[in-house]
Amino acid sequence: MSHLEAAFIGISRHRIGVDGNGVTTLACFHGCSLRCRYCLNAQCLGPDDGMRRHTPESLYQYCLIDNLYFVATGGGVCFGGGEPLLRSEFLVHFRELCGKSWQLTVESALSVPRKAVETAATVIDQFIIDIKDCNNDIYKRYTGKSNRQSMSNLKWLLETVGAKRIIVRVPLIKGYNTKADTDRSVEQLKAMGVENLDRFEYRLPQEQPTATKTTKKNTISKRRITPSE
Amino acid sequence: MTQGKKICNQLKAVRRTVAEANDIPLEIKECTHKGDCAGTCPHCEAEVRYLEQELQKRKRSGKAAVLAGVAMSLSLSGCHTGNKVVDPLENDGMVRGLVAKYEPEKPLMGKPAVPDTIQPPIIEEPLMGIVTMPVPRFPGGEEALTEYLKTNIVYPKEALKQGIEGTVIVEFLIKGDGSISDIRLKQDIGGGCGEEAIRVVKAMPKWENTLPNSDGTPYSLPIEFSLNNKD
Repeated sequence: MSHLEAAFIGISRHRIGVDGNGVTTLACFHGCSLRCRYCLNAQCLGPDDGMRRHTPESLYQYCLIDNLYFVATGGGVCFGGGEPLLRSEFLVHFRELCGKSWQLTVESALSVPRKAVETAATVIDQFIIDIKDCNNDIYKRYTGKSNRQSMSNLKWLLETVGAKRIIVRVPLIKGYNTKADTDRSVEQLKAMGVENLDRFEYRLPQEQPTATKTTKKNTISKRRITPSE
Repeated sequence: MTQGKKICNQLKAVRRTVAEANDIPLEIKECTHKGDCAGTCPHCEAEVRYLEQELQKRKRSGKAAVLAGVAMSLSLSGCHTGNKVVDPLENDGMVRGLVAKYEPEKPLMGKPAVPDTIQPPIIEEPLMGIVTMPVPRFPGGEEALTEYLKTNIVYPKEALKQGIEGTVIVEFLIKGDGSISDIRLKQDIGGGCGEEAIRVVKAMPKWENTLPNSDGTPYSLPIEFSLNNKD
């Protein structure tokens, strides 16, 4: 199954209360369809040289070490990224290997072809969707892409797998949307049938000076001007 | 308590619950490790392997082995900061976890104990959660900026006449919409060079890749006026 080999930007064990039920291992794929301005995992966008690679088999073997925790707590593996639904065939094969006793979750923006969502929907227990903002202008400014695909996929997913298996995250994105924008998104999502909403704020790490707050000058390299002929 | 210790304690509770549900004797010793904790260690891993072996023994001998969901009633939460549904107050929006530097090459399934040669996991390091801030840039990039300045700055006649050379430094802000404001001379050499530099900076096109609604990203641009045409 080497054709299903994928690059991973990281794998994190023993996550509790973050990526679905119970004890979870988070496996983050390289590669994303969006270019979010505050990308949390920017390493998923560059070259994948030197990144850990796994086939579904090797990842399953890796995750097996926590089988006891997964089964006892109703946990399992959460696939993040990057965009995990770009690797939906990988997810299907992983499910074949792990069986039904592990809960499989994805953290996705749903900005992928419908076929990828359809494929994943057959094997994924829980979808955690980062919808960014329902306003297409805001979404475009923040991600560089229209939200038509993600909204359409969300609608399909709600109709197909049901609202119980979906959590939609609505972030307040500094510089891109406002509280009023997120209120509008929440109303729109509720109208679509979303039941589980997670509102939160992208908070920039303190150690990372923001462009709005920094007092340090960005020095541009010196330019030399000589008299014209 | 460190995050790693919290994870360790919760995983310990899971192991204890599994052991009790299956009448497996398990003496959980108090961890004496004083340093950073990654949530697990060879001792913790060895306990998991031991429990797995005991569960297998029970199955082989025809006894019931209870595992599925046995620890679901435990209150497991709050081990990672991030997009945590359960506690928005602690939510920093930056999820994505921590990865131990030590990771075994192979799963330890089925081994009776963790070999002594395996070193304990050491301090976790953030793997994810890095925020990439937009960095404003002149349209077309660095080369285009050089070209723009060389094309538009005219060496002032007065500076030529007086043989003035040197470096002028112009400071300015790139606003959220890409426009330039707060232009000022940090360093001038006279002969009209400072004024000429400001004129050209003022006339710059809007910059790209800015942070919308930003109060402004400060920049410092040194421009060397040189009478020597040779590089």
